[in-house]
Amino acid sequence: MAENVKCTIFDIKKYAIHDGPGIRTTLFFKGCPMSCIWCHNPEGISMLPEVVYDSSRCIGCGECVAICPEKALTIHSAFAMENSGNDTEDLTFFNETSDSVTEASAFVMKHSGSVTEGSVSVVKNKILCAFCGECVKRCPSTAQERVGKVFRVAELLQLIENDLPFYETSGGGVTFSGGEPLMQWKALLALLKGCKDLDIHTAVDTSGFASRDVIRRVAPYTDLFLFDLKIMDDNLHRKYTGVSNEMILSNLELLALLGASVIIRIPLIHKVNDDDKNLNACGSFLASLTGIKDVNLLPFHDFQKSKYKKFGITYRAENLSSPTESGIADAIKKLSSFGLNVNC
Amino acid sequence: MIKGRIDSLRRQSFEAAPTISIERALLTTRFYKENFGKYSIPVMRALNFRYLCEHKSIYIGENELIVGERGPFPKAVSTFPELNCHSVKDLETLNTRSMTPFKVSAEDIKVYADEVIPYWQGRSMRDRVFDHVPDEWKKAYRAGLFTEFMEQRAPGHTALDGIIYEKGMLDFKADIDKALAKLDYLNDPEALDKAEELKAMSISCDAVILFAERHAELAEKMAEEVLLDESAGKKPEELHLNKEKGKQFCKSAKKRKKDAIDERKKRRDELLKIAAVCRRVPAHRPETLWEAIQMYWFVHLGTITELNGWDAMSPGHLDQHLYPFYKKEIDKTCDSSEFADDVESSQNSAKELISCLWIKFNNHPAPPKVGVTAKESGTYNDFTNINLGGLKADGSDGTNPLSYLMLEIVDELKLLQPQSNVQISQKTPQRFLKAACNVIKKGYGYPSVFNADTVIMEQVRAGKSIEDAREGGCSGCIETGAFGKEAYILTGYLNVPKILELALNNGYDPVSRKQISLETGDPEDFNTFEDLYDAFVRQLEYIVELKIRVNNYIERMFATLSPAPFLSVVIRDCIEKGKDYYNGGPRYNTNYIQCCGIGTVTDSLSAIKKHIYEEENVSMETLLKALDSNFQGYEALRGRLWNHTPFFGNDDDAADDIMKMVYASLLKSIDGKPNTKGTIYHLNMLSTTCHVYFGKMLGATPNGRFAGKPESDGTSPSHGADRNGPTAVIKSLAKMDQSMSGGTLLNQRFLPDVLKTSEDLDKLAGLIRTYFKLQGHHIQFNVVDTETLKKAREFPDDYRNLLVRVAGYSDYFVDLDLDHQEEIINRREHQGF
Repeated sequence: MAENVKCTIFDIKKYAIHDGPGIRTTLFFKGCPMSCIWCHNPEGISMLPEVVYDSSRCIGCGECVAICPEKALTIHSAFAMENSGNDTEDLTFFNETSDSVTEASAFVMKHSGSVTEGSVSVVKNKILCAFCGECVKRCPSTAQERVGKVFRVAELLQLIENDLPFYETSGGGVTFSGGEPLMQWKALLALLKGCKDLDIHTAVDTSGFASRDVIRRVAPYTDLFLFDLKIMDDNLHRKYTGVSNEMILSNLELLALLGASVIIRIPLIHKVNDDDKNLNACGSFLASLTGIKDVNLLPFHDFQKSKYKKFGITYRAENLSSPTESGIADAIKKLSSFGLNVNC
Repeated sequence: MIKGRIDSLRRQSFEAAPTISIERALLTTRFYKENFGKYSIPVMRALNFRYLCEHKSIYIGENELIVGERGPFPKAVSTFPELNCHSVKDLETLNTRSMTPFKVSAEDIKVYADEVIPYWQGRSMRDRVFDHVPDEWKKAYRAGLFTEFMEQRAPGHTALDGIIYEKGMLDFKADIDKALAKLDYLNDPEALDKAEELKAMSISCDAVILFAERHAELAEKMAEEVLLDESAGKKPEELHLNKEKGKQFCKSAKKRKKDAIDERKKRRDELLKIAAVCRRVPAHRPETLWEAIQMYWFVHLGTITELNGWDAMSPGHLDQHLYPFYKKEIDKTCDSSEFADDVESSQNSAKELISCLWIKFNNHPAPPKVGVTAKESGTYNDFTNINLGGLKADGSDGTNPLSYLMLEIVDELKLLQPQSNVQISQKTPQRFLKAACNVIKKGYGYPSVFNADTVIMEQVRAGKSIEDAREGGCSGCIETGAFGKEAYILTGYLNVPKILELALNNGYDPVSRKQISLETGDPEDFNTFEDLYDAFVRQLEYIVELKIRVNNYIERMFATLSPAPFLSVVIRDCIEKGKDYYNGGPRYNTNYIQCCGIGTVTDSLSAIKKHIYEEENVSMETLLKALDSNFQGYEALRGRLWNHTPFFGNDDDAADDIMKMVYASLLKSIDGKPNTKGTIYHLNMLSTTCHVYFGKMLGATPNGRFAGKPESDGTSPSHGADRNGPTAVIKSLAKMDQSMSGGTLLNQRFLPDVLKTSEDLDKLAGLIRTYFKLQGHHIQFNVVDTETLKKAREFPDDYRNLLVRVAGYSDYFVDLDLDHQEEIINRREHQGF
């Protein structure tokens, strides 16, 4: 049965107001076939559920260490780590002001005498860890956090349906994002069909990197595609995203032919794709497609940087920068000259 | 942009520091000393009111169009020694306390000590109330289980319908005479009481007419003097500037002189107009917009001079009441002129007059509160709350051009008072809701947003006619009432989480370390969650009954010792029945108890249910020890409770079902209890600022909240407990059958970033509409980022203007005490994704 298909989701955002019309619920699929160096959802890259550890939340109670069935966790005092020359960046939480209540209370506890010698850090032997999540369930301070959870489609449909009154009142619906939702296309298709049965507006936020067959299957149940267009030059596209753009561009052509409703999203990155050459190429390509008129520019930002650290992934966008205000205005002007509705 | 007259009046009002005026206290004391015992109580009260109207200082400020102050000048606040006679220590505290101070001179304190205090000691209502209450009540009161609204302020909470725009005081007097003539001394044992009350009402009508005439006299005198005033129109800094410009100076000096004369002539005409208006209203029904506004203002001043009712008077649906006058004037201009400019100028004059009224409200801070009352409501706000939009009595949409104009005024003036709200029904045009969202996004915390359809449903459910319900609305913070026809008395807040604390401690208060309530069993002996819940319900019923017993006693004290004959004139049916507002005179008579901390108590019960009785991962004994030690040494347990418990506000039935159960128990214990007027109690789900005070009186709670920290506010989730965004909060709230209440309060904090574009506002409007489709009562927004709040806390002087939503009202952030500032910073901040 379709509703028993499973998929891995790493986040569900309610009151999503920037992912299509009206008030939306956005589901983030875990796993992406591309590796864009500016990726701002690094937790969406791997398809596997992960368990990550946030030392700034840790109160050093050791409950995770005690409960781990694989004995993959050990507890270290901060001093030991510092002395042994390990990455001491984790210790900066001592000086950081904590915003969330959880962090604030963790901070209070650290100073209330429960942990005497400096502080502690839990270290995981990644080879032993079986991702069972027992530590997450046990951790009192959410320092051990599960990223990515396997859901049945039926469960997700229930979650989506919970906010039905909001979609109805505001003309909203659900948006499937990621990662790359088309990578788990069977589940996506079941979800899209399920939403259509419930008369819920659907949007798919995609890189377009999927087989033609998948696009054909999902298109009839997708009310709106939010389709990324990154770089027109194939060599540069390969350089920055790890894959060729050939399939992406032809899928966009296919959607235009099918008469799908599409909003183009261009992540605008200074000196990567904000040059005249690329913008002209984008403009003329889009102008050649029937029915595709709307373009959203998403200027690059580096708010994602801290996430990389948490996930232990190397951040490769250190040298990238945001386009300037005037650069954005120029890009809007340039693309608009192709008869497109461009906004930022 | 505001400029000219309104700008200067606004600035004056904004900058004036609240002071205490002892004038009213002195006059009242003198009057009582001489006259007490000569008249029946109602007549005595009315004569005292007339004495005040006759002898108090009259103030007409520069540039004012709408006139009248309770004190001798703006923000000079009267005291009411007959209700609560402040001690010398009280006055000194008020003068020096850091939050909501009132300046009072040493000389005035001395006069107060010599003349006022000796007379009222033992005679004031407050002294007499506290003399009578039983020990059990005092123990519970001191432990912070409930508050008592009527211990230093009179029951008020009144809003008007349109009657004062149809009848002048002389018309009311004629009605009173008819009622007097109808009295049946043969068959009605209450006939004499009614006669005394009616005589008192009639005297009160004379009193306000007299008060208005004194303004007319002063205005006429000022009109004569204004032309003689040489200094008018001169601005020293301009003189200085012009001197440097040499030649130009002579020319402009001449022109300035002419301008100054013109200006004075203009002011003379205005003063004469003020006099004419004051001679007409409130004696007669108003004919023009100016008269209508002045009429309201005199009635407002009358009620807040007679007594210090909590909350102050509210005009109710002001846009609907004033619209016929406004329309008449615009139509007249249209008929006599073809120029669009003329119409615009009449619109501007209307706006100017209404703005003058707005500033008048701001000139009147709440009377100084002390003790617990200051803690439960620590603000200058006196809770006038103007309703915009809504429905008309016939069920049609009530939104009109004045609704939009008043939103504009709210937006431009940015004043603490009056509060304003929009009443949104299914019939309300989207344009109006959007216009309101446009003001909300500025981040002043108002207007708050009400669901007119639910507000009406609540009233019909409580037995009011549908027409009266539609003319009703919300006053104070969020409280529902039939405007102009109902005494809906707030009696005090109920500390619901504290009641759970009693159940967890067998009636012993772990904070004050005293046995203060019933012994409902040692919780370590409870085998099931139901056993514990049963103990909670028994504690709840005991505490509620304790409170109501004393309420009923105080209510009779007001009815017999401190009636409000003037207020009774303008509330329907009081004249016909010959009964006072406090004595069942109004068409409807409701008492409310306001329940606090539904989020905290729900989350605490949810934690107990899951961890003790379902998963059995902690024992009751350990939990109680952890609570007793404020989680010191139990950090991991506290984390488990806080992070692994289903909490209210996440659209999770595991928690929301508990909320429903608690709500049902609150209804069962409160709703339907008798008051002294032959009618009944209902409940409100409201905390104002009391959740901070109640939190201070509460130990650590099983949801992981530390001792002394604020409880959840209104019907909002506990701070930080809602982790799934605003739609989940709304879904959880919607599971409460709100039409069974007299109002609920939901605070939401949004980042300014979420409300940038017109599309964003559509989505906010969509969020509000959805909550209302799900029959929510009220929602309000603080649109401000955490950084700004933190900066404001650090550099208060730079943020004097920063208004934030506190409870059913906005306040200047820097005027809040540190606890409340912290509390607002900790409210969950919603982002859009």
